[in-house]
Amino acid sequence: MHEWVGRWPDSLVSDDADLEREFEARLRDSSRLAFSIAYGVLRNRADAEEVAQDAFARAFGRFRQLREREAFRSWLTRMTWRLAIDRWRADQRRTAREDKAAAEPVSPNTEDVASARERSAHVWMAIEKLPEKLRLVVVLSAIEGHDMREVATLLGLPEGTVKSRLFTARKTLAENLRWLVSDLPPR
Amino acid sequence: MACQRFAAAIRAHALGAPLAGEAAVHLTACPVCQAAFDVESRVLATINEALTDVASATPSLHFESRVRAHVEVAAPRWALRRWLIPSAAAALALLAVALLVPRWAPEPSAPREIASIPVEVPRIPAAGSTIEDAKPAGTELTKRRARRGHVRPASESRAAAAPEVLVPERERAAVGRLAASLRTGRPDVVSMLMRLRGGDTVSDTQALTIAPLRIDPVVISEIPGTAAILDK
Repeated sequence: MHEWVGRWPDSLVSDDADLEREFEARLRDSSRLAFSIAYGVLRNRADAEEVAQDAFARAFGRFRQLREREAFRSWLTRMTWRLAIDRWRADQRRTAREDKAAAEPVSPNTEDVASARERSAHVWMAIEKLPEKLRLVVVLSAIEGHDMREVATLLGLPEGTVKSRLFTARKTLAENLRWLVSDLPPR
Repeated sequence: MACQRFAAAIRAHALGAPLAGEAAVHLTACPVCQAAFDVESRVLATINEALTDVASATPSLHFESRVRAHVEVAAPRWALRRWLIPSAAAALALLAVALLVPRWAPEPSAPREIASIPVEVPRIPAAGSTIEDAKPAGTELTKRRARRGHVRPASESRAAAAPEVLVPERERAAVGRLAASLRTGRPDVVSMLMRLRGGDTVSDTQALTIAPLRIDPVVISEIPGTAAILDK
């Protein structure tokens, strides 16, 4: 008992140092993932970096509570996604307030789809209208190197579920964006 | 009619689903369904093109170090504890030292300059009363406690038997003389007021005499011009 009492601060301090080292390793491993997820929602580099930073700060604060350290990436994915969505919604509300009078809803006409950039903007608008669970799958699968298995691991879902969600998402997008290509010349 | 039947399967095929044999045959034979399949393929290509934006997006050069700095600023309690525990331990150790050192310090030796001498302070009895009457009566509470045995009566205490007064050694002789002078009814004011330096001792009260105050005689003279006023 006496020995334990004498040693406990040391053990706590060394535990904390180990945790910090482990978190540092996770940060190196997952910083790009957090950024890409945030970027997939916000599509603005500075905003995405800010959200990723916040996500890591939160993750660091709760890192001790994370029992399965192997699930860190999955945990970080959900956290980043949630923060990015919150930020995106706040931005949407602010933009709606600021541009209420000036903004015109984007109408699908041939003028709007003149450039690839505009097409991309329409695609993202359609992605943003997807239900959240479909949207998350679309963004995660778009991140380089993420196959179905990786996305399933990140989301903690069966691979079949991820496949099904991605299929539904793409089908919904295709239905909503078919007008976009109807006037385009065939490749 | 066949086109409508296979439309869903052909769209699913554009999304990556395998096409059943009959639908595949129809797709190769039907230009309308081929056009529909082509549109679907181009839509999906557009979607994929937009999504490559996510894949190709890269954070800025020092993103990771900024994240690290941000994380350090928002360090949680458990991370702060790494520094807090040693700091708290050091503070506690200092506190303990501060509390214990005075107790461990050696008892101050008998004061070099302070000594106790028994001094008898005579009480001046009132006219017609005895010496016993002059003893301190004590409060009612003291008397009650004395009866219960909690305290000894003041008259029985050692202090009452031989009252001690702490007197600096170099003033001891003077205080002794003061006490003696009080006892004899001739208070020596000089002994009370004197302040010796450098360990000098006074053995004779004659040494404590002070020069008498010199008072110059006052000369009263008349102010010129006031005689007439005074006469009135």
